[in-house]
Amino acid sequence: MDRSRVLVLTGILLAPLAGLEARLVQIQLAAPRAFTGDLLTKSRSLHLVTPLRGRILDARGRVLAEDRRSFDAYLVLEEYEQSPGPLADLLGMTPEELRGEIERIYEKIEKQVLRRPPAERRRLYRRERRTPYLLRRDVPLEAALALETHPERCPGVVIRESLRRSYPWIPDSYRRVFPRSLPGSHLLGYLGRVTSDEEEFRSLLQNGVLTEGFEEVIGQDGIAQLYRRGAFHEQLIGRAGLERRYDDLLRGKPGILILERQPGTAEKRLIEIKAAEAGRDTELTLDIELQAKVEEILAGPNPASAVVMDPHTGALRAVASNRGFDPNDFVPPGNPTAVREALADRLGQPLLGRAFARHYQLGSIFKLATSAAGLELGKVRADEFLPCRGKFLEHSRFFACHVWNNFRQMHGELSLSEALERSCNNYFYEVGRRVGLERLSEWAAALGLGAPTGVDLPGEAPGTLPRKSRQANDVLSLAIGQHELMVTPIQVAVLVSVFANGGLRVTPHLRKEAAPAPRPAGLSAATIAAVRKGLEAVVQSPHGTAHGSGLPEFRAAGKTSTAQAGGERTHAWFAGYAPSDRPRHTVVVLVENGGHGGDVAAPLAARILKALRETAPP
Amino acid sequence: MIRRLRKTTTLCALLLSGMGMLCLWKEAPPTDLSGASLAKSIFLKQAAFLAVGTAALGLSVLPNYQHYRRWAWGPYLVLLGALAGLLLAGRFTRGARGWYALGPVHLQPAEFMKVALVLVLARLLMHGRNLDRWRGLVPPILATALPAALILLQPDLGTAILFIPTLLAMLYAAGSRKRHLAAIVLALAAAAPVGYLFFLKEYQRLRLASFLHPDTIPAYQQKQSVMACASGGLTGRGLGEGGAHLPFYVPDRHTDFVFSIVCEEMGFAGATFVLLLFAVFFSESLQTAYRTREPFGRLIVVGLTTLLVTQSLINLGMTLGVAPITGLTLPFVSYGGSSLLTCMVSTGLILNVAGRWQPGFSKNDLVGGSVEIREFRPPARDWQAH
Repeated sequence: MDRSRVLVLTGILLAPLAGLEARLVQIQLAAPRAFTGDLLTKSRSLHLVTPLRGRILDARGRVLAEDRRSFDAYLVLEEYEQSPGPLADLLGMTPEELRGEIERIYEKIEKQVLRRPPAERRRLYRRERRTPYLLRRDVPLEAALALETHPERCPGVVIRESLRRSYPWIPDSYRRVFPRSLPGSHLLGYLGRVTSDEEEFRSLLQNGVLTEGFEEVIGQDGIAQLYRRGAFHEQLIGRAGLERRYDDLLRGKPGILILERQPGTAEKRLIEIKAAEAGRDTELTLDIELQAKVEEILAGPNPASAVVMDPHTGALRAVASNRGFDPNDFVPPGNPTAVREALADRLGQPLLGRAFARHYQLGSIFKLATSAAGLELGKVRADEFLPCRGKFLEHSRFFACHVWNNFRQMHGELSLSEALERSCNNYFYEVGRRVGLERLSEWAAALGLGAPTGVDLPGEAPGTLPRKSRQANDVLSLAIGQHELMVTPIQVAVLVSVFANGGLRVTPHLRKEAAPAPRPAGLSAATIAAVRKGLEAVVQSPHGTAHGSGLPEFRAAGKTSTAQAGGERTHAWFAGYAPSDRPRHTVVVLVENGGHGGDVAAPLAARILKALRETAPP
Repeated sequence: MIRRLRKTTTLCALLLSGMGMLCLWKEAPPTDLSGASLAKSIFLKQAAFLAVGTAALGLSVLPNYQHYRRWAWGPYLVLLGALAGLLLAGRFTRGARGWYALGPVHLQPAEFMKVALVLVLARLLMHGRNLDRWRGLVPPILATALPAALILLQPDLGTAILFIPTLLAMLYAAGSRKRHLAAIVLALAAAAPVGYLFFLKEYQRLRLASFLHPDTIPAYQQKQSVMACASGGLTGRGLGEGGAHLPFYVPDRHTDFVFSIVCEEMGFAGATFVLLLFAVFFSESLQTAYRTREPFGRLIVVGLTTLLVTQSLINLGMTLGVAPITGLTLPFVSYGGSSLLTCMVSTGLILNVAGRWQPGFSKNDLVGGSVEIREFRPPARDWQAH
């Protein structure tokens, strides 16, 4: 080892210290004027720059949600109170509303002032009274113009431009059917104040979600000041639907402005120290035109929902519910009256996305799962004939075929496809008894029932699937889709798609890029072929339960269901796909307490297929 | 026992930490979200770490550093595991996964890795085996690249970059060929643009760009820092008279930009005093390296000193506006427990080497035949102590 090398290192390492000393001489002694600004004399305030929120686009690029420029009115209390102008009139508020808003500003100021030591309070109070506070969002253009061009009419009001979330896509025909709602409202969701959930707000702040990248620029001090001034409290975040689900994508990152002022002069300087980053656009698989048409088709006295999906990928084309709302009313400041009405409507529950957020009794469509389980486990063969003698249990009032209950008739000997075609209960009672409840429920779960499908919508209902048999006859009820089974229409869409696409279980999704790969459900080709033969017969055969519904025209296949729901009337279901030889669309329709599936739901499905043909020509 | 404790080095380290405490005490440190000042808790935390650090300094001085040779790989491997664990399970704070939270204390394995790496490199290089061939350079380079990569992934560019001059200095002091070192430097220079384009995060690129073009992209923090430094003048505004009570005056003043407090409040005089303390500290330790003939000790001192010097230079340059923002602390002075602790342990190791008499020889001594090699006999006093 060479000692002289340490000397060389000493030279290399210590020389730059001399350079730093030279720099000190330069900036502190030689020419301090060139480097010092008027650091201490200027007053600075921090401002958040709200980023442009990403748009939500449908499959054909139509804008479903976007940020629009709007005007907000801010009030400087001191100036306003010296000579109050006709502010209420200009802003279209009642004098009481205006007084309430001013009262709220005073509360905000007091809250801030009380946090500081008593000695500073007087000064701070006076300062805050000279600071503009938000009075009203989204002022009409005319009012904003009037206030901007004639500031002397109404001193103390400041108009600032801001961004307002709006949901613009409403066709006129839709408006006529649903005056107070918007197509796909449950899917889009809406924004809400970040403070409306205090706990979530805390955790967002703690985890730095709201202040990403701020600390490097303005430090903890700066963040604390922004917080004290309520800058984060005004932020809006997704509160429901896709706005919530993809909030982190859509939101973007806020920027920071510093406003420098020389006290006593009007000189102002804006320094952008962190640029706002716009949120990303989100493209959906949804076809909004189809969605609107489907909702119109479903319109009626009974709550109804429908799902249209690509059976091969799980891409959702429409997820409709015939009770909706207008998200424009919900984004603050919104329309409180409309919001209150929507919340008060206990019967219609317009805020509920019925196709995914609520579960229902399924009924006969479950026979698809029963068939699959029976065939896969070898408990029944597709060409095996099982008898239908009307009643299934000799000494029970229950467990009989619907032809027995309604007409005291029986189906006789049936093969699987005939049993599906006529929806014979006794056939499936027998298959269910052979399979057993545990195995049946395992197969139902494998086909997507009784558990969340993983659709990218918040608030998906899980449904229920009985796993253990408590009484001997439980399995009979389950085999025809009654018992404790509860499913969502979107789960049914997954179930039918397994047969439509040749055995793959898809994950329904709305965002184009979020397309999880389908997984094999574990069905053999023979099973699928046998069930599909039955589903085609349901529509095509003259005895089929959906034959008279207009569906044969679309070469559809599917299954109807008339599910006892505890109420006076049964739920009417139809679930199927079209065309039957090369399926392109899965359609599920549910009319709550609507009556017979074949009479009520299947014709609606036919109309949806017609709408599909019009909007998406093959 | 240790034969003698270098008073100057110890004094410099303690004085520098004292300056740091003074800045913390007099400055208005940040407030939490509700606006309550964190001054007291931060000062107390740092005081506690100073006490722990001084104790650690004492502890690392006491055992003969030759014992560390045997255990050199231990802390290195443990910290390597900790770094990997951070990447797998660490929580993101301020955009990086660099912390293990133990109650109120946040520990940064990357800081401790600096010392562990120097020990391992010294162990690898002490015999100078194959150092004149590329083959001999592979183990030290790998030993450095592995933790550097893990730290880079956190991402903490600043700390990872510190490892490069440390490795080069230790290789150089250990006697590897200048040709090889030049080749490594060239390779790194060639890799830099690739790294800039593909591996740097957006904000890191922005920091670099804002340093290179200060007019086009605002580097607010640094601009404010330079202004604050310049406003100090010869004697400064006086302790606690700076503008730090103004919010976002110089953001994060108590950590990375602590030197701007010194410059502003104690002026040119105070700043020069701090620079002088650093200069004395560094030249003392390099003198130790020069005097120590035993290769392991010498390499430890060279490595640790290079680390501290590079870190100080980068931080001071950043504060004075002549280097880009990297997020490195100023050794001894900045607020930060892990950083202070590492500095203290480093000082302890340097003192440990400085204070011992070690029998040793180098290749040159053998070749030149200038030293007569005698049988090793421990000095009498050490002998009696046992």
